[in-house]
Amino acid sequence: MNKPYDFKTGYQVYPDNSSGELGKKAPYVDHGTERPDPKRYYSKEEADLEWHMLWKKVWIFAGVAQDAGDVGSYFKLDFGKESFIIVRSAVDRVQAFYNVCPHRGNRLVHNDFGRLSKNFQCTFHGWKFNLDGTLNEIHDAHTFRKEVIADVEGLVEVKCEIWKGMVFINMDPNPEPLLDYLGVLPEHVANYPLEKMRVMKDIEWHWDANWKTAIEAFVEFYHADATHPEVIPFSSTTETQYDLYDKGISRMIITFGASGPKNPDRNAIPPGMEGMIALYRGNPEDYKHLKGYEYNKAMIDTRKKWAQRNGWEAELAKLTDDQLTDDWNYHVFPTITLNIFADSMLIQTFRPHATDPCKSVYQVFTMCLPLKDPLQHSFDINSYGPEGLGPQGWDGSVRPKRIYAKELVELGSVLSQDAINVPLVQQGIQSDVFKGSRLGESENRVRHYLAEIDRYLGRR
Amino acid sequence: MANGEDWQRVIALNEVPNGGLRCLERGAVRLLICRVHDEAYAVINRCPHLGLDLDQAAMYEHELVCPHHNACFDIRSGKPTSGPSVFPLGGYPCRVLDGEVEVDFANPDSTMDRHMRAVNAAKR
Repeated sequence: MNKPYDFKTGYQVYPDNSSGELGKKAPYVDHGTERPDPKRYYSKEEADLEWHMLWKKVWIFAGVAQDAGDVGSYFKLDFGKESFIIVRSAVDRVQAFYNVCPHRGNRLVHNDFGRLSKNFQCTFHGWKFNLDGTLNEIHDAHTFRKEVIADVEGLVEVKCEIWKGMVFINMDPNPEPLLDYLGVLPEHVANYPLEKMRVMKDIEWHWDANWKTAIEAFVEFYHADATHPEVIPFSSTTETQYDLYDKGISRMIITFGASGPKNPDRNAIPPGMEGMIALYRGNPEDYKHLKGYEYNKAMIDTRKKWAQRNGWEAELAKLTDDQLTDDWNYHVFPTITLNIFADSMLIQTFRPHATDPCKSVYQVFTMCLPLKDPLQHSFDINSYGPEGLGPQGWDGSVRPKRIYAKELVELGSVLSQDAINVPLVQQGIQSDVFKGSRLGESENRVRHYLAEIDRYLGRR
Repeated sequence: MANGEDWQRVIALNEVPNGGLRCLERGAVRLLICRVHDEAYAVINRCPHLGLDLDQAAMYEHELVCPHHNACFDIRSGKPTSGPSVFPLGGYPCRVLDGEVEVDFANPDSTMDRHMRAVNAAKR
């Protein structure tokens, strides 16, 4: 007979401590049982409050360091009503600036990314700025009275720091250091080679939903049974482990590979898993002796061999066997979630709309370790089955253009399933009869980040 | 083709970095050979925005970004995709045969040819 569910204990996916301290369930944090006020998902006043007291104070994920690799390489981040340029201004320096020409306000950079040989030049009147943001030249400067341009120093800079290949910016002139802001994360993911991953896919999608409505669809796995029924055979959905940490950070660990408790016959090999083994160029015949409930061992062995063939043996040797298969999903407060796997990672970003609190911008980077095995396909974890197959021997050298998706199918089948729900949830939240979400303990990450927002907004 | 064809080998595909480009000159013609995996494209090494060279241009799959003023072009068609240029990037027919990149120098597709085709297509 199973033990009764205790909400303070929840589920622990590694009861034998197989992933040591890092895999342990965090102590329970009690955020109560109140229903969040629906107005925070559609009120303009709430969005304005968030802009001034949250977004202008927190570290915001801006993009990947790969896009600012060489001196002169830059990328653009549009965030709410602002736009930023992130540029490698020197071999050892990446800087970020408001994407605003101090002359008439024109955007200096219009495109997603590029590489400049010398300086930024405004397309309107030709004012030039050095890569470090300082003023280089005012076109026909003699036609200006001195007091009009005397205080022009250059572009307005914002703080910029890099962690594990990810670039963060902060509009607060005196923020806490990024590493402190990230709390447990640097220690938790130290052994993953995230900074060596390259962009395989980069998609942007605009939602008719508040950014919080959107992110809340991605910080719990309670929705998996109804929304992603394909994962039930090879995952534990209800038994996902949820952990809450300081600074609004949280985690869920989703198991992968073994037959889940909802399968009627847990001895049988989960459907689709032999195909997954073959995708990683393992031989399913080698694992016929395994029972379904222990089939994650087949994936662990296959990933180790994958690492040997593709030059990642030393890096993946630092991970536990659990980490070779399972999805360690972190919410980096407030803008991103990271689905971290041994060989790949999804960076999902949720950004507020410039003017409308009932809209938001979603972007997802699929990051993968480059391959050396010329027969090995890359794989987009946003998808089930063959549609996720990328090129063989993918070496990460071609930086894919950003896709501005118009159709759900462009997101990949997994994300499409989520994307269907999000705008419909937003519509229901705005109904007169809806009085707030009733959140279960599998949804405690929602309460957790809302509590952190409240702290920034001065409600706690 | 009106001018016939004049396919000439210009470079081995594996001498062009994947996701990058190589600059070449043939007589008065200055070209960039751009590579995306097993495909190659020949574009004219002159940005139609201000006529500056594109030696240091960055590539993002099939998009080429001018290093001077961020004009962006699709290397397959020359079409401007973002930034200050309203004119397309010129190019030449290009193919890969047995690992060698070949360009048909008899059939340049100039910026103005491409621009006028776009203008006429918009009228239809």
